[in-house]
Amino acid sequence: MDNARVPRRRDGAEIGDDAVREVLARLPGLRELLRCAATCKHWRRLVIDRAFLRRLGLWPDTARRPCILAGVFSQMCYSRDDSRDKRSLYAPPRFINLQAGLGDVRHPPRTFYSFVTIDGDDRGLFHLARPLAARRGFLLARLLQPYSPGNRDDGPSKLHLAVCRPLLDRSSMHLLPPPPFNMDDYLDNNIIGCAIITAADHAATTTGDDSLLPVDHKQQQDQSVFQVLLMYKDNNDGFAYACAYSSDAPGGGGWTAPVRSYLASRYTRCGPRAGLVTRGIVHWLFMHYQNHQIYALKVSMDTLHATLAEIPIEVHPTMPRPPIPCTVEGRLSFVTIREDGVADLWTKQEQDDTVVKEKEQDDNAWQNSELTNLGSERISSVFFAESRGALLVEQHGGVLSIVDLKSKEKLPMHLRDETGEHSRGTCRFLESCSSSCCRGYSHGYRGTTCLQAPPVLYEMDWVFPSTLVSPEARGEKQE
Amino acid sequence: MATREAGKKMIMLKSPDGMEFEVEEAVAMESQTIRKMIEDDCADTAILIPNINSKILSRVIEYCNKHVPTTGATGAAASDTVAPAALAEDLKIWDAEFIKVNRATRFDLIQAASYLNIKGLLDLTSQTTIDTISDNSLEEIRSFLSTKNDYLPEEEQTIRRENQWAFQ
Repeated sequence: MDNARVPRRRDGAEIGDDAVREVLARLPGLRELLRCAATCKHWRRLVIDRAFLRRLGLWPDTARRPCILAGVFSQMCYSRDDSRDKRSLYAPPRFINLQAGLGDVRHPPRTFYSFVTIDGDDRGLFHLARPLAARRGFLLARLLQPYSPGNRDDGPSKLHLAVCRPLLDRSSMHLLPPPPFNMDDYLDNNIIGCAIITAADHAATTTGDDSLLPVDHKQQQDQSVFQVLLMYKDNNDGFAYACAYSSDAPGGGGWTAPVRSYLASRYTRCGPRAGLVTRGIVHWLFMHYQNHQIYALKVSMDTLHATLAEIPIEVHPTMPRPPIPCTVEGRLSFVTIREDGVADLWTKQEQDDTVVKEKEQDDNAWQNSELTNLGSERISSVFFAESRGALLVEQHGGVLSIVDLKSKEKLPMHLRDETGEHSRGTCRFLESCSSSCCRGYSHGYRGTTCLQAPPVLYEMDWVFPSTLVSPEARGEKQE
Repeated sequence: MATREAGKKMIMLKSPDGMEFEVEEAVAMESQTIRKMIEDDCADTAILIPNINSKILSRVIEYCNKHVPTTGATGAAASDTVAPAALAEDLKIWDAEFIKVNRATRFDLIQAASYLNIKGLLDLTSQTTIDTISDNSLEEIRSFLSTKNDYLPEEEQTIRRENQWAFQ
């Protein structure tokens, strides 16, 4: 008889841990799991357990803490040339829910939608907002009209940004003062890149690995603290400039002076506007407009110092889509997709980081390995989910799959709550769009025919205060 | 119990309170735990089922008897003449009746189903708990599960605040 499996009950408990886990594993979604974790410390311990969450797919191998890919913000917009009224340029953003449990039919997750719906109770700010970047539950959005009414002529040249945590804290809306630069009428062309950096990202620079889950006390207080990095192009000199906003800067938050970085007009961005964040550094990939050479742009959040380094890899100019930037174990990497649907992952070999000078980097430091074969179905969009460490791929007919960069596994993703909104045969994120931005390149020219603003992936971390997570033998009576 | 038919291997299940239940091997093997013991040859003629009292064990056996494929408690002959859909419907009604038990018994059944690894029984017995967790407030969940809230007020507040959407 296998005595180890004899069910044990704690004093006073009606069911043993194994049985509780079985019940927990049957819960419809994350919402219910969180509620269970909130009932008492013992149940929380059972829920916030790496092995358990991994079994449910809620703590991916690649992630430092349990996280979920909640969904994608997408937004229809209209050709600039067709529309005179600036107010009709955009439809309210939509949220496409990717978390099956969250979309359980009996419990429509109102909070996921309410802040963007027209008929809901939250008509207002977000109705005309445009999601730009999201990270760890934070969302950076551009407000398409001035926040204060009666200020409408102010609109085009000023950039109105807001940061919020739509699912976590609906009262946390943070309006940013206008950044210290002027823009012309084509705002989208001017913002080359942006990024949100959270307290958790900074923690990652000091602490190492898996020990991150316990959120220390300071971080706990800093949960709503963030920084924003903007890279914009100055049309007068063609250069890119970086400036940063910190929500906890002395005097109630403010922008740094812009720092000039590189000649922006020569490079086209690959991948989304939102940069990837590792260890306080924000990364983007660019392609030279003439020779199609790939470049990695690194911007330090501390100094705003930028380095643009060539990646010595030949990319065929007729490649169906530009490289997709991603991070693997905290390093900038990227994925290329061949014409036959085979995806390759390019990673840089480990080096003695700080010692090696940029110039002396080995040309062979970049290596590729086959990630997966996506098959012959036309690929309509590819996103990188940073926390999850996986690609979200949409193919012809709206078929979604997740490709884990570590395990190289490709898993289909089914949306349980999908209603008539999306019918078979159409794509969720692209509709009759052939412009460069939707193929993964940034807007490089005026008069784009893009009908959809670049979608923004929304991921959330689980946040549990540290004292609750550290093992507390006191609360437990082991037999 | 159905009369013992020739050629059917029987297994003896013993509860810790000393009761013995003789069941067909096929019925006992509804439990993945017992199936594994039998397949690994760990089982003699009698298997002691720890921590599951005779009252609960008899109910579990009742469930397995009903759910064992091809020969249910009603016997092989009956299943040949009844359409599968009707049979499934009948089983559903039977399940609904079966689970009309008090709370303590239901938790005991969850516990037993978990230990014996009987997926169908686990699904059935945990459904009420799952519905309770889905539909009720934290306080109601606690009272249903008889768990004691050992969070400090500020701790609970933090959890609620940081995961606001889950508590609305």
